[in-house]
Amino acid sequence: MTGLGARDASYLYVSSTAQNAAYRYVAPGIYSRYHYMSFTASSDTRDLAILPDGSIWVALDWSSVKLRHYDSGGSLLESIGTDLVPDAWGVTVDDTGRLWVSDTENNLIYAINLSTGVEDGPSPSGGLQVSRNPFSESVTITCEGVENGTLSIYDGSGRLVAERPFGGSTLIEAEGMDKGAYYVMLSSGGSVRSARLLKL
Amino acid sequence: MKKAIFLLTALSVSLAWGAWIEETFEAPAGMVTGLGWEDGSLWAVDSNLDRVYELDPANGEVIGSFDMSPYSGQYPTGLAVENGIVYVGTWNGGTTGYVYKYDTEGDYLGVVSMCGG
Repeated sequence: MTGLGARDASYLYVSSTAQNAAYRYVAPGIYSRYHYMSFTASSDTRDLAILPDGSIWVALDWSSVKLRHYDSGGSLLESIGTDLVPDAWGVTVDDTGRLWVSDTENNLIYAINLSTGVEDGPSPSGGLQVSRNPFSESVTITCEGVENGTLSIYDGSGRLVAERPFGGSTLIEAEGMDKGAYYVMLSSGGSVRSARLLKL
Repeated sequence: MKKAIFLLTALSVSLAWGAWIEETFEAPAGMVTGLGWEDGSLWAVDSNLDRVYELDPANGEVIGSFDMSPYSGQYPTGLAVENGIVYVGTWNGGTTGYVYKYDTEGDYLGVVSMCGG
């Protein structure tokens, strides 16, 4: 039993590092154990955070992958590695959707902006605008000033799933796309911009 | 082009593209193993000192803190705050674990035994 998360004053979520799973209990009494999800392809789990949509971020004691995000059905959505945070143990999510992570190796606490949940706005990585993200049917990618570029779309495992010319704006239809995280990379004139999409 | 190669390489490690660290501050103690959030406050538990902290998320300043008492001697490994209750999970690395409950002032509200692991 290594991590706790709470939601809606009704449930307490407990992670088990031995079973790589999260269990749900009725709070505040903490009774009626229910198997909520298994953390597939993970081990050595630490603290967890439950989001309003029922998805879970869980911290891991792995060499390169420190945090993983699972949807409420237990499917892996995305990961955060040591290139962003060197260590992760405690994890929670604030009211604006920022992910807070404690790093016990460096005695630091980070607030990570995941840049999702923003329906219309610029990407933190510069220039890309993503309209209605997360999305279920379609999403529009816009970048002012780019008239001749290439837009590449990768799925959550890093596999290239589509590539198309980009002339300032493009509509991505969700038909045929599995739910989960996708990553778009816009290359133009030697510069590269990227953003994350979440298909619901 | 070099940047593109770098991004493709980074993809194999961190898939949360677009994510970036917006804020960093020093932890209130050396072994913060659990974090929680409620009503604009960040909560943390330290497993070396067995102490719970309420932090100002704007700068990491400690607003308040309390010792886990009574406490079994296990290691705090997780924290959640909901509806005015601070839940602290503890584990001994074996087959037993507990969830301790406190109010936000640190008053002890009870403990529930959990399965270990």
